[in-house]
Amino acid sequence: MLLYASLILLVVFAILVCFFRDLLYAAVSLALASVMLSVVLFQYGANIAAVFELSVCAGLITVLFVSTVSMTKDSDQANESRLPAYFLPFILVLFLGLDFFLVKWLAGSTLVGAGFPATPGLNFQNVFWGQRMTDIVGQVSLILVGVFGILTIMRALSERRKHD
Amino acid sequence: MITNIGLLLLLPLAAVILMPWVSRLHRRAADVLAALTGLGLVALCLRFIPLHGETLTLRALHTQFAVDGLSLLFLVVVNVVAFFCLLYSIDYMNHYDGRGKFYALLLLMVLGLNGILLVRDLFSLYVYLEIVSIASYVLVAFNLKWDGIESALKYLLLSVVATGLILVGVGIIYLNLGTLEFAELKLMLAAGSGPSAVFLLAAALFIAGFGLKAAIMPFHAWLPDAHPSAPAPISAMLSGVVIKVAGIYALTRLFFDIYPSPDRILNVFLFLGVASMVGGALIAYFQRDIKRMFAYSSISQIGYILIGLGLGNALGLIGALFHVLNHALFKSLLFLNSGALQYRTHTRDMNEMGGLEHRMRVTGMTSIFGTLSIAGVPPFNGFWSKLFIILGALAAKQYAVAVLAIFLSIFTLGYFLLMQRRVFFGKLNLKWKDLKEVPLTMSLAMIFLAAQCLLVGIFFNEVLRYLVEPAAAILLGGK
Amino acid sequence: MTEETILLLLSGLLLFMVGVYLMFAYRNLLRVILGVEVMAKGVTLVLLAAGVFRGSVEYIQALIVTFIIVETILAAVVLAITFVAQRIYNSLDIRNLSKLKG
Repeated sequence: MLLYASLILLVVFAILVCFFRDLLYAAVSLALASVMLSVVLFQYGANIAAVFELSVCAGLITVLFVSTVSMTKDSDQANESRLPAYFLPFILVLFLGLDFFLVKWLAGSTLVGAGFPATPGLNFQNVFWGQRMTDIVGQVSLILVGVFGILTIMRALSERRKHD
Repeated sequence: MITNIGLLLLLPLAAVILMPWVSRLHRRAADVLAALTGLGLVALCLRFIPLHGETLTLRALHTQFAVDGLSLLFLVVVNVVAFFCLLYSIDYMNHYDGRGKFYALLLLMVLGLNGILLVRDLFSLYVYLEIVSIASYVLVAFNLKWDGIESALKYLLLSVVATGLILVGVGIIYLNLGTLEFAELKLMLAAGSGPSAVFLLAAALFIAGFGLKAAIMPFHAWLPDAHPSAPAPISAMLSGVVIKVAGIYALTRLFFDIYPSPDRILNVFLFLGVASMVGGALIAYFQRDIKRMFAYSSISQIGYILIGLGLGNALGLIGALFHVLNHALFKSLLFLNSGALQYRTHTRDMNEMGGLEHRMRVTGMTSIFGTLSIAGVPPFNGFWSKLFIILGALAAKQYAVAVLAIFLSIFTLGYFLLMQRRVFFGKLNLKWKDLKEVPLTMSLAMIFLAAQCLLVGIFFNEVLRYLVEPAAAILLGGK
Repeated sequence: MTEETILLLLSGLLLFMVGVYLMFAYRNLLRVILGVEVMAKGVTLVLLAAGVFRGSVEYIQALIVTFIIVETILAAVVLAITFVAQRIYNSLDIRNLSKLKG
């Protein structure tokens, strides 16, 4: 029951993001959707992913987003049209139709027996630090990309450059 | 030999970590470090050539990276072009600030590209793809002018959707087959235990996702903005290498090596290829901005590659893979030429140029090499790959495609000669009376690339035997 | 397929589409980031569905953690670009991206 409730709330909060005119409310709605996703993950025993979702997506990204919103408040963001929000119900019907079609197709042709058998007795440690070590090398490089990327972009604000 | 695989990733990583300190030591130290790293990577790649299509796997510290014929061809392309771009940047970056950060991001991009080519797992491929993407968003916006930021955001918008589609595809593959490793997937799909209806859905997602990355015609909207706004060495990397590794390599790996595609998927490739080849060339003809023209012509040339893949026979595949190598060489050369022009004239508008032949001899001569190669004039490299693709089309009885490919090749020669006339010949615009040739390393990079266009054309037989045929053998393996 | 997997897939694909809509229908650049995040939620659900169906949640959990890290770095870089775009050019309106028509 809790599973269905959190899934439905997740979808509802995510759709609400489109409806809020104020970006801060939209951000809060997104954070709540993240919390719900973390509850879903938790119920399937994906505890570590749930914690990451909660602390990073619901926490860190919301903080980053809200601080960007508040630092850019004085710009010309006021006259956002309401049109996309009004169209949303029709779009949602369209999306749901497509969604049901795709999932029906998937459900019709996916077999339980087929496919590579899951290795029993795996836990997060030996998957993440064992099998997925290749990804971790990538993640280290990705963090460097993030650091150098943000440094590169933020040099626009440095004083020396302004005098050029 | 096996440890060399790891060095392909560790060398750029070490250089990037050292970069902030090194760039403080001396004004030129960062240049030296970046160029040496590039040279080292080229040397590492070339040492794999004697493998001749064998697969070499590195399993250390639980990682898994492998080189086979297909990845070797792309590795050589990536690292050779990257080295010349790094060499070119030494003088080109005098216009910009923050060169240490520039080199760091460019090297990380090369690391990501090498990673894409070395991994043997769909999800790892996504992780390394994301390294390349994020590095290229920032590099496109590197000058921090409005057009750079604008095209970076546009690129980002479409690219994020592309990676999203790819990941949903990965999810569907795992849902059906319970594994993401290439070797296991290949086994499962060959055994026929993967219901093919579901694979078609994943295939559609992958074609759309990697097609966006490769800027195939209906998915091309980001490329003509992103490539011109970037600094010239980055345009050369994006157009010469990134669209091929992130797009074409992934498509070939998925649809030929892992899953020998049925004809209906190949026909999609053929159709998209013809659309890109014709559409890209037609739009390129009307451009005034030299870099935009090159960008559209990249779309057109990607079309040739896709046609070769879509034909599905040996001649077509060899032509397509050879064209990957050739297009990387001549398109990066042409983008470096346009960068040289912009370096001196500060404009990209071809109508403002004219008569630069006598002012910038090296740029003029090398761009003639590039023009002849891209148009497929013998004995330059572009001729051979286009010849193979056209022969492949004839062998597959796709006569209309063959005729179109020949016609478009002549059309390409036409609009590139028009470019030559507007930029290098004709009356000298008096504004450019005192123009000088670009500095040494920029000239050197262009001369080397031009020489390679000619040498690959002359020694095409050796290139085919050592690089292209082992790669084509992998694509044909499933047939 | 089990009912749970179907529900996870349904909501995952729906969220993906809503995210794409958020990215392309609105004018404000900051909404693009919200769109990316909603899309990421959808992708997470699809991955989770695959893991649940295959009975290997532990394996898919490692992928989801990696995916969250990648997505965070992406969001940070996008926010930085948006911030600088606003600070220098004082505009967050996506329609000012004049060439966006392709």
